[in-house]
Order: sequence, then structure tokens, then C-alpha cells
Amino acid sequence: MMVHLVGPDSDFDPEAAEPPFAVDVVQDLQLDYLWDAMADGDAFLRTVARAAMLQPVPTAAGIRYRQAALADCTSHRAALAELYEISVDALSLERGILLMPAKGRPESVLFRAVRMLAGMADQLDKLRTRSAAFAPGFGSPAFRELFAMIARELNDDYMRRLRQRLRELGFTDGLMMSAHVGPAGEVTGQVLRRGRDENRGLFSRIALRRPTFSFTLPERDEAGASALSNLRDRSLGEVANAAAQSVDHVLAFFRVLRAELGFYLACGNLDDALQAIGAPTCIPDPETAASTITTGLYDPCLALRAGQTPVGNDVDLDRSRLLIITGANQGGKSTLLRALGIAQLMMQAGMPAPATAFAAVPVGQLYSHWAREEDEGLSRGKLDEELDRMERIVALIEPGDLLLCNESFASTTEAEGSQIVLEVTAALVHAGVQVRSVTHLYDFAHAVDGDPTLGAVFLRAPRAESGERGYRLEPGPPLRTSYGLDLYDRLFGTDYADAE
Amino acid sequence: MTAAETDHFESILARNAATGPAAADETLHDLALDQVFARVGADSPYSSAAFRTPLSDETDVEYRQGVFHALEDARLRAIVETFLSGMGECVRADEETANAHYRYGLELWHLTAVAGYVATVEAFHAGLSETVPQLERSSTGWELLAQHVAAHRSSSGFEALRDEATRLRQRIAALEYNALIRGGKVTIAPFDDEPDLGQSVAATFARFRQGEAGNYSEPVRAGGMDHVQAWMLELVAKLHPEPFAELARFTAASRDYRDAALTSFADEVRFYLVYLDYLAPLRNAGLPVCYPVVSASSKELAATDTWDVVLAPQLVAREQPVITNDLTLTGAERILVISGPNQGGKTTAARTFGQLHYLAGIGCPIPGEKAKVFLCDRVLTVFEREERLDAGKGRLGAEIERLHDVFQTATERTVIVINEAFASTALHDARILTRDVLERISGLDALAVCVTFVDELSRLNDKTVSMVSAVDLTDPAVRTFRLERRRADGLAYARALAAKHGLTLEQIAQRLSDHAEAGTAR
Repeated sequence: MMVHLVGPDSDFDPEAAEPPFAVDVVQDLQLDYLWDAMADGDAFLRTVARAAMLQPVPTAAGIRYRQAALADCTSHRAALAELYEISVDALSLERGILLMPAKGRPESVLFRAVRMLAGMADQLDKLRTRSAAFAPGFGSPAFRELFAMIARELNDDYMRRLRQRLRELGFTDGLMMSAHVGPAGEVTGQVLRRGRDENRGLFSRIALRRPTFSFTLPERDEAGASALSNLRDRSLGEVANAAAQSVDHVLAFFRVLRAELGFYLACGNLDDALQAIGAPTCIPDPETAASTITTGLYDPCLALRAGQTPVGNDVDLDRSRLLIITGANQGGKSTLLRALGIAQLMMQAGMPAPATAFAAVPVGQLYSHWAREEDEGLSRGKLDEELDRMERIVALIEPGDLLLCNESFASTTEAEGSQIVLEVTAALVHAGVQVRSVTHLYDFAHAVDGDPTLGAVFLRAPRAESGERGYRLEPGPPLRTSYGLDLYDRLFGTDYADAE
Repeated sequence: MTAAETDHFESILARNAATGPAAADETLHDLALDQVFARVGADSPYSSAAFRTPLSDETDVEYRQGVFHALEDARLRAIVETFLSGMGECVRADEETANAHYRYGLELWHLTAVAGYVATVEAFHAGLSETVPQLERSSTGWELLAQHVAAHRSSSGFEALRDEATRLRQRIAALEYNALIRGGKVTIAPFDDEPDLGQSVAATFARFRQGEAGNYSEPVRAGGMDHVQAWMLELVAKLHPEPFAELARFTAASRDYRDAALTSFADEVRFYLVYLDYLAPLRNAGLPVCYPVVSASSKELAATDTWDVVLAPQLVAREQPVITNDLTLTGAERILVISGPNQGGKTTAARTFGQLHYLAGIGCPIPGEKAKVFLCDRVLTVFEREERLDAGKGRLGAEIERLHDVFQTATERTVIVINEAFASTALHDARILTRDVLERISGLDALAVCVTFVDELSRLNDKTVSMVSAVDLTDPAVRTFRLERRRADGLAYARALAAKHGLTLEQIAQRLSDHAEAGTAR
């Protein structure tokens, strides 16, 4: 019984190991603001949102599948909430019976498992009744298949059998097992058995083939009683394990159901939050673009933090794999770089995109390489640290992945930094990696401009005085202006930047 | 070779039994070799004896080197390990026969022991016959053992044992019965292929499966046999009497089933395994180990990049470098006289010299890139030791007593290791006493190493060679721990230290002239 609400043949695991560099990406793109809005105060929803966004769906078909499911959820928010509630109730059974040991003597493991299974059988009944009621209103493949699966797998016949098993696990007729003779003569290889009705005698309820031999422990044989109890425990192990694993399986089913319904619930929360500040969203198009084409793209994290409608940017990379963003400081370069990364991750989670239109080719994995503050690793040079981080990224990155570089290798001289970043960038782009790079390194940007094999697109941040807020970037080749000159000019009232 | 040499397998430790006198505890302690052999247990008396007893014959050394070399082959090593664990289980099963105080207990444990033995011998035979012919360096020891195992395995007695034990085991293991536990009553009945309850449960809930579930069957300790199971066993035997009758007949007919030579092999081979295991982490750390050319006739020593086998593991554990040394004696040379600054590796080098001769003499591979070593009759040591400060003799008295003992026992084939003798006497006395000792050793024509601060004695005669613990001249505070074969010059270290502090004659002169210039300028 697979839930498959997040993919036609996959489920997501909120506990799954995060991709390498997830920590960097989260920090660099400031994703926490986005997840806070998705969670709306619910820590579990936050975990689900995080997992969904850090495990990008790699194909357009997969993205479309989620977009359709999300559309269903948007128009049936009450049904979504009720199904979510059933899964939460089923999972809370575990907490109610938590006082009993989860591990330990098989007899107590078994007892706990049977009680859990009985409680979960009731939730399964509820799930199938409510699903049958909701099914007609849902149109997405994800929900249609989920409801059909529940109707098929949890039919009357199955539910009867399930309750029959739970009765058998009460062992009212004694513990019956088959066994072998171990090397020392001990009882070994025990397997608990369901007795055959045809072996039951006329006057006896015991279902054993004849002949039988038996003994009864003397009343006061305490050692014997404890040996027998040990034998019972040794023999119950397999069945207790099967029952406890059954609990795990049913719990796992509800856990997946909760997580996947939770994801769509979280998407609804984000939608509410963005609507409240008047920030537009669109259904992204993962099919038609060869690279990235967007209008009105903004950084939703910045918008949520600022609580106001942001200025959008247009980017058209056509077929280019390389975007170079240059220009003045405070010009919105990093914000645009973040917006590109966040929009990409949102699209590949099946979510709406923070733009008026967004079309992009799905990427494999997203990596970010931001210039870091001096705070980490006093013992090593900044350049050394940057090189080290890039080395680890290059060791993992694959064609079809996306790398966001923000001021990479600006920590050394321009000539050295340019040379390093140019070689890294050219090698990656030629290998088929998508690269978006914010840089102050004119040598680098200029060299890229002069290399037609890289086919780069350039965006330039306007200088602060040329626009009021200066957040809108324009296409254009790199100018030989630098942040240093700018800064100097600003402080000293000189004019070096313009003289370039 | 002596007449005792045989063409059949006697022992993996030697072709013949002849060995020299056992080494004294004192020697093993001073050379710290007791730490190397510490892992040989009291349950391996043959291995213990082998570590303590120098060989007196080059061919025995060769025999052991061959055995060692072969055991470095991972395949052979694995075969031997499997054999040892199999034999160990046999021994444990045999011990159980004495403790099994229930009906069929003794018989079942005996069957376990025999079945284990048979399987162990079969596997050992298969392993040896495949691996021994492919060995990089052929080994008489392994070849004789392989022949012995093949002969034992194809003997009619072993074949009968194997067939009967295998058949009986299968019969008993195949027995299946039902047991019903209701309260204190246990009923045994024939098995009727009833459906498995656990499988039914698992099948019912399998559809919810999303991935692996946890494992909740914590193994309940069986705690061995108890009287409830013994009673159940008796009822099972009532249900199936024939296999148990056969088991009783088998037990009576196979009391003494083990081969004596294989039993002692399990002890003897530990000598090799313990030593190789000791070396393994050191080799992994990159330290060289070699099979020395061992000669009973030539007293020349040529050991390249050798190291202290006991100090090395401590350094490796602390990730510190292990300094290697070249130790050589050529032509008439017999005595290494080691002098130089303290903590410069002098004692280490002396101990290494003793270890080399001792280890080579019991047939072991030794620390070093390559080596040629004299086969001595014994190694004698004179180390300053606190525990000798007894009976009011004082340090010097104990030392002199020990030296006296040494010269009582030493022959022209002995290796003598003297560490810092006469350190507690005045230089004038030490000069005289040390000269005497060295002259005695020269007279004996024994091999020796002598650590002393009386460095001029390194030039005593043509038998003495001077070695000096060296320092890094660019930074004299750094001891290299490497010894150099050169004329002892007690001033070199002091001069280097002085240079570091700017206190050599030239430096002081220079500084003063600078001051002078500054002075005139002013």
C-alpha cells in the first residue's frame, strides 16, 4: 500500500539523509524564512517542507504530477485537513501505548503489538469510509490512485481476516509449535503453528496428530517453570517480531500518508502567507525552457521577511547554461541569485514559483558557493577554505546540476581569483552544469564575455543613484567598475568608477 | 643435518627436536621481548617454549622462516585460522560431554565434537592441498604438514568416522516434532505440516509495508539444556527411537578420534601467528621487515634500516615517526661502542642489536630492510635495573655481579648487550672498567654492543666500532635518534647547542664586532 502522493512511484522520507551541501544551500538561500511560512508554527510541517525542497524532483512529469495533486488540495482544503487528521490520530496511538516496553521479552512485545494493531484497525476503518466519500471530488492521478488503492486493499474481506489474526495472537488454546532437536538435544528451530481443525479430537480442543506423549511440571518445580517460560519466550520471538513489525508497517503507512498530505497542507500555508503580502505566484513550467526564462521573479524569503511585495526581475537565458551577474554593490545581485535558486527548488518540489512567469529546465541537484565571512576556521586562509569547499562541490557535481556562485574567490587578488573561477566555471559549463554566478571579478567576467563557447548571458545591477531602489537588473556586459572604486567614490566623493 | 631429520611431519616448529638452552627471563625483559610474546597463552606450551629457545642450526632457522613466509600468504593464513577455530570448538564440545548429565547429552556432544573435527580436517586438507603448492617460497614445514593431513584424511578410520558422523547428524537434525505448551503441561506429537502463524501474521500486514521494519526479536538466551528440555528430548526419542539407538552405538565406537600431530600443531602454529600479528600494524605503518640471512659461521652483521620492535608500536600509536638505523659489523669488527648525547636513541639501538640476534635466532623475520645476522648461542644483557638493588650491594655491586655472570656463561658465539655500565662511578673508574670489559669481549671474540659515555674506548682496538647518536646540526634541540657510524667526538653536540644560542666563538666575536661598529658610528 503505497501512498505515492508526491510521485507516481515514489514517496518521500522526511528523515532521509539530506544531499551533501544542503546546509550550505539552506544558509545561502535563507530558506528558513520560506519554511517558517510553510510550517505556520507546526514543526512537523517544517520538516516535511524542508525535506520536499531539498529532494528536488528531477523530471518534468514528476513535477506536473505534484502540481496536479496540489491543485486538488487547493480546491478541497477541508477534505485534506480531515484525512491529515486521521493519519495523525493513528500515529498518536503509539504515544498512548508508549508506556509499555517496545523491546524486551517477546511476550510483552507481542501484547503491546496486538493492542496497537487493534487500535490501528479502527483508524483503517475510518480511513476507508472517509476516502470513499471524498473520492468523487478529486481529479489528480495522485489522489485518484490513493483512493482506489484504499478501496481495493482495505476491503471487507481483508478487514475480517485482519481481526481474525488478532484473535489468534491471544493463544487461548495454548502455544503450539513445531521444533527440531539441536546439537546438544535442546529444543531448536521453533515455529509457532496454527493447529489443523481435522486433528482436533472428539473430546479435546487440542489439534495434534496422534500418538502424543506428555508430562506436567510438578507444582513446586520452580526451575522447571522458569525453563518453560524461557522456552515460551524463545518460541514467541518470531511471532512477536512479526506482530511488532506489522505495527511498524501500519505505522509507516500512516507516517508516509501524514508526511505527504502534510506537504500539500504546508503549500497551502505558504500560499496564504504570500497572498497576504500581495506577492504573486505562478505555476512554473518545467517542460518548455532549455535553461531559465522568467518574468517578475523575486526572492520570496526576502518578501516574507520584509512583509511587502517585492520588485521582480526578468531573466531570459534562452539556451545558455551560464548567467553572469555583475554590477554595483547593493544592486540586488545576490537577491536575484537567491531568487533563481529558490524558484528552481520550489518548482522542483511541485510548488508554485515566486514570479509572474517561470519556466526552467529541471536540474539534478543544486549547489551553492557563497563567499563566507571570516568567522569559520581562523586557522586557515579564506582562499584555502574557498578552494576546499569548491573542491568538495566539484567532486560531487554532475552534468545537469545547478551551481550558484556568489562572489566566489573574491578573497584573493583579482588576477588569481579570476583565473581560478574562470577555469572552474568554464569546465563546469562545458561539462553541462548550469552555472549562475555573481561576481566582482572583472577579469573573469570579461574573459567569459570573450569566449563564445561559453555562450554566457550577462545581467548588470544598476548603480544605486541610477534608480531609486536599484533592485532591477538589466541585461548588459560587465563594466569595468568595481566595488572598491564605488565605495571609494561614495565615501570620498571621487569619480574613479565612472572614469573606467 | 642431524640423523634426527625425518621425511614425515613432526612439528611445524622444527624438523628435529634439537635446540639450545632456554633464554633467561632477564634477557627477554631487558630486550623487552617479553612484551612481544605476551600474547602467547599458557594454553600453548609449545609456542611459549619456541619463543624462549634459540635454535642451534641454520636449517631449523630456514625451516621456520619458510613457515613464516608462507603464513604471510593471506589464503594460507585464513586456512589456518579456520582450522584453529574449528579445533577450538572441538575441544569445547569434548569438555561438554563431561558436563551433560541428561539422557543422550554425552552422545550428542560427542557427535558435535566429531562432526566438527571431521569438517575441520576436511577444510584444512582442501585448503592446504590447494595453497601449499602455490606458495611463493616453498616451505618444508607446510609441505610435510600437507602430506600428513592428506594421509590422515584418507585413512580408513577417518573416512568411517566422517561418513558415520555426517549421516547421524543429518538424521537427527532432520527430526521434526510438535510441542504444545498449555500451562505446566507439555505435549509432544508428530509434526503435521501445520501453517506457520508468524508467516500468516506477516502476510496479513505486509501490504502496509513501506520499507524495512525494525527487528524486535531480541534473541532470548537459550541458557543451554535444562530439565524441561531434557524431558522433552526423551519424549522425542520415544517418538523417533531409531536415530538415538544409532547415536549410542557411534559414541562407543569413536572414543579416541583426534590426530595427535594436529592437536599439537594447533598450539605450535600460534608461535608464528602471534609474532606476525605483532608485526602487522607496524608493517602497515610502513616499517620494513625482512627475512635475515642467518649464518652460524660468519659473525658479520649487516642490518639496514632496522628498528626497535618494542618501541615502534608505541611511536606508531602516537603517530610519531620511527627512526631506523643501519647496524653493521664487517671483517674483524665485533663490538659496537655507542656514545653521544642522551635521549639520542643509544639504548634503543643497543636493544635493537640484541633483538635482531635473538629474533633471527628463533627463526623470526626481523625489523629492517635487509639483514645478515650471526646465529648466536644466546643473548646476554647487562641493563641497569632497579630490582637488582638488593642485598645491600648497591648499583655498582649488582652491575659487576651481573657482568661476572655474563662472562661465566658467554662463549665466542654469544651476543652481549651492555647498556650504560658504570654510570654511577667516577669517569676515571669507568674508563678502566669499561676498557676491561671490552677487552674481555675482544678476547672471547663474542659479539657485543656497549653503550657508554667513555667515548674514547670506541677506538680501543680493531674489533671496536664507534657509533654516535646524532643531532640535527641546524637545530641541535632536535634529536634525530639516528645513529651514525663515525668517530666519537663528544664536543659536536655541545658546539651545535652553543651555535643555536649564538654562543660559538665566531658568533660572539661577530656580535662583539657589530657592537663595536655601532659604538664607533655613534
